[in-house]
Amino acid sequence: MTAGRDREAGVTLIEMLVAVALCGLIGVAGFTMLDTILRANSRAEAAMERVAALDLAFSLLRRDLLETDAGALRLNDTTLTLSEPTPLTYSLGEGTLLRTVGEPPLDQRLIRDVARVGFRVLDIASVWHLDWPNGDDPAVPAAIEMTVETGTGETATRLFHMLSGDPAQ
Amino acid sequence: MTTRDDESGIILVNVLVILALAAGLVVVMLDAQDRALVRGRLGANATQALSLALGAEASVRTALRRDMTDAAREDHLNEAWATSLQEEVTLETGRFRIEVRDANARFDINRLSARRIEDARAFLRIGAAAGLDEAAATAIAARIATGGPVRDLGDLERRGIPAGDVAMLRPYADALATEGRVNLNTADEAVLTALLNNSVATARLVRMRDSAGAMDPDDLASVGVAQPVGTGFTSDVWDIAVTAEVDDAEIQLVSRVMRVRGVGLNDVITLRRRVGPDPADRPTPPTGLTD
Repeated sequence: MTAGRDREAGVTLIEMLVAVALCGLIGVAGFTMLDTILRANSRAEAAMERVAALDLAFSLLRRDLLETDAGALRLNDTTLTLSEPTPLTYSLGEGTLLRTVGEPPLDQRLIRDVARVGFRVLDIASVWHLDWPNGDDPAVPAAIEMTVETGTGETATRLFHMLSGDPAQ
Repeated sequence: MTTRDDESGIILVNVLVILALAAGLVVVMLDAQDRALVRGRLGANATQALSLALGAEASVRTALRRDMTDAAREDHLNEAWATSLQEEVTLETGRFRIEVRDANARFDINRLSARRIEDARAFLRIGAAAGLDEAAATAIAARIATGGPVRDLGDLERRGIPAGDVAMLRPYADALATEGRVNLNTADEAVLTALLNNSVATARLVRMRDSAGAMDPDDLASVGVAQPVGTGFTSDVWDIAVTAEVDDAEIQLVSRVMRVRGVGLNDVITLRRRVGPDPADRPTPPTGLTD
């Protein structure tokens, strides 16, 4: 009995060690798995938020341009101003794309963490302009291109028709 | 043996707890992604609905352009193109309804900027039909005569006309970019009465117009009235209201289009568009939000 008990006690110690090691292994593996899932989750959520913000900004600009007459368009460096029917400005302020509406101006934050915003105007003679109106040039704008570069290095570009730059006309 | 069994159980519990946590996290993740998908689908539907609405507007513009050569001498909403347009269209991608309104059916207040006595008299009668007293109508006429044409009736409020007066005037008057003549084919009875200044003749004309679908100069002669200054039988400015639906996204687009006549080149151009409800119908933001 004594010999048997000793033997059992020894086995129990080894088993204990093995069990603790296994527990530790599973714990580490489990922790790594949970950590990976959490990271993936936060990455996916951040990406989805960025896409949603981009979508919102692009659809707002699309609608604003549909309602704006080409004569009311001003582009100065990286600030796009539409004066009709309500005063509207798209600009970059402290890393955020802002849509400023009405009088008194009300800021709407469209996209956070933006590195660069660029606008270009395409006239009906298919020439690109970085400033608009272009001196005394009587050209008519046909479309506007907007490029947004996010802080994470992604770039999105969209081209929008203007009210009077509709190709059907 | 008993000891070994117990410990195997602990490892199993360990694994199960971790798996349960992981599964819970995955569920939360999938749920968030599902919501993002729904949001994306809504955005896509809204974009698609807007494209549908723009397509509908283009089809009306085409119909209006064709009508400029097919039936150049008269315009009314009983013409073939107009009746076929007013039906709801269902496509695979969505559906849309078009409502075409004639902007020339109402009195163009920008005519007052030319300071013609006939226009001023007609406007006073229009004002009376709208329920404005003579002082209010005169004030509006004076603002246009001195300040020049307005972009739309809402601009009158910025020139100091009470909003209530502008709202009363809306069913009877409009502000057009180029000098507009009232189309006798589409003008409603109140506007016709004010323009012809003869309610008995107007009632007969309206009956004749209702039965024939349109009227011509002979009809005016047959009831014994002369064609008033600033009226005609055609329209150049139209409002197109489109409601487009894709799944649960609905877009309302109102476009004002104008016919442009040129030598060998007739065209219909869009003067302005508005997406969404009329600004007058939009709720006012709560105080404190805008200051």
